[in-house]
This record gives sequence, C-alpha cells and structure tokens, in this order.
Amino acid sequence: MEHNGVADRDVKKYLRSVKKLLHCPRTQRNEFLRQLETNIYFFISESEVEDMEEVIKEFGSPEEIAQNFLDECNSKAVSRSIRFKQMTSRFITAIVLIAAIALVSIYLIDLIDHINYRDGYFVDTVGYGSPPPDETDVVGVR
Amino acid sequence: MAVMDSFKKGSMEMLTLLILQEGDIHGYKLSQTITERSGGVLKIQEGSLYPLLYRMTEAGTISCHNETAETKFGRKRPRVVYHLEPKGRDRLVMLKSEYEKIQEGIRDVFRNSKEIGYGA
Repeated sequence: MEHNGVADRDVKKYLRSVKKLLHCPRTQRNEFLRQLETNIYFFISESEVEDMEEVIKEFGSPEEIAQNFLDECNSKAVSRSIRFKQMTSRFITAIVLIAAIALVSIYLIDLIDHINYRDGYFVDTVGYGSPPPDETDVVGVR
Repeated sequence: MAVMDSFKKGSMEMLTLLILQEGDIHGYKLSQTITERSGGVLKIQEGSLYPLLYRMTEAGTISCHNETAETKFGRKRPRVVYHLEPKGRDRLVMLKSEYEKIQEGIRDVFRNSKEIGYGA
C-alpha cells in the first residue's frame, strides 16, 4: 500500500530500524513507536512528500531519532533495561552451560558403566545412605 | 556543550508548553507553529520533537490522545493530539522564570564587558 508515493514497507522498515536502536523498557519503546508511526503517516498525508527520503529528512535518520529518544528518556530506566538484558543473557548462558555439563556427565557415566559391563562387572550403584544391595540385586556377575 | 544542550532542550520544552497553552495541537502543527512564529529562525526537526513530547507525556506535563482528522487533501487519518495538563502550566511558569534569569544574566555580561571590534 502506498501513501502519497511512500510505500508502507518503507515506513515499517524505518520504524524497525528505530526499534532496534531503542535500548529502553519495552513498554516505553512500544508506546513511543506507536506515536511515531501515527505521526509519520499523518505527516505523509498532510504534506506533499513523494518518497521516504523526504520523511527521513523531516524526522531524521533512525540513529538520530533513537539518540534523541534515549537522550530524553529517563537514564535510570535505560540503564535498568540494559542491566536486565545483561542479566537475562547471563542467566540463559548459565542454564545452557549447566545443561551441557549435565549431558556430558550423563554421557561419561554411561560410558564408564558400558566399559565396566564390557569387562564383565556391572554393579548398579544405589544412592548414598541407602541400605546395601541384596546379593541377588547385583546383576551381570558371571 | 552539556549546558547548551540542556538550554536548548529547556527552551524547546518551554516553547512547546507555551503553544499548548492556547489549545490542543498535533505534533506536525506544533513544529510548524514554532517555525512560523519565530519567523523561520527556529526549525524543530520532528525527530527531536517527538522524543521530547513523549518525555513530557511520561512526566505528566502534557497528555495525548488519538483522533481522526481530515488532512488537507481530504483524506481521513488518525493523528496524535497533545494537551496541556495542570502540571505543565506549573512547569511553564518555572521554565519561563529560569529563562528570564538566564536572559538577564547574559544581558548583564554583555553590559559589563568591553566590546572589542574585529577590525581593531
């Protein structure tokens, strides 16, 4: 769809570029982008712009608009948002690391059991503090 | 530089509140009005106006709502209209008094300084 010669996809692309640069809480970012979108479409309808270049000339590049927004934004909220993103990424890294260690451990335990079984001894270990296994529970003994 | 930036920001906020005192207005019209009334000296780029309007909305000095309006080409389009809140009136009084103090201070510096001609 076109508005005065400016394609919808160009406006969406512009808004996406701005969005990528807005490192602030999601609610603030979404509300600002919603207002910006309405203002851009109204500007396109009201003025006689013919292409996206003219819109960028009036509104500024995505970098400029994002910088202006972050300058106006509460710096505490911005740093809180960045901190939250960092914590989330650290948390995900830790989870992935723990999962990887667990998988490797399971694989190694399985490998050791497999080697022991191949040697003709396979003792199924029971958790610490459990009563000693009955001789009949011991399997794999020739 | 930081002083100049905050002075510029404060001035833009003050002018915005001043125009909004006359009635509700949408962003595009607001920037046009400032440019017209300043005789073309002050040209506010939309890219710096909307972040400012957003910050002022967050601060509660102004509020905004969407309304559908007819453009000058006869098409109907939604637009964001800004409204001055009581908190904004107080803020305007404060900004105006600060601006007058700064203006007076600058005038005093000029008055008490020797003007040296460039040709001297």
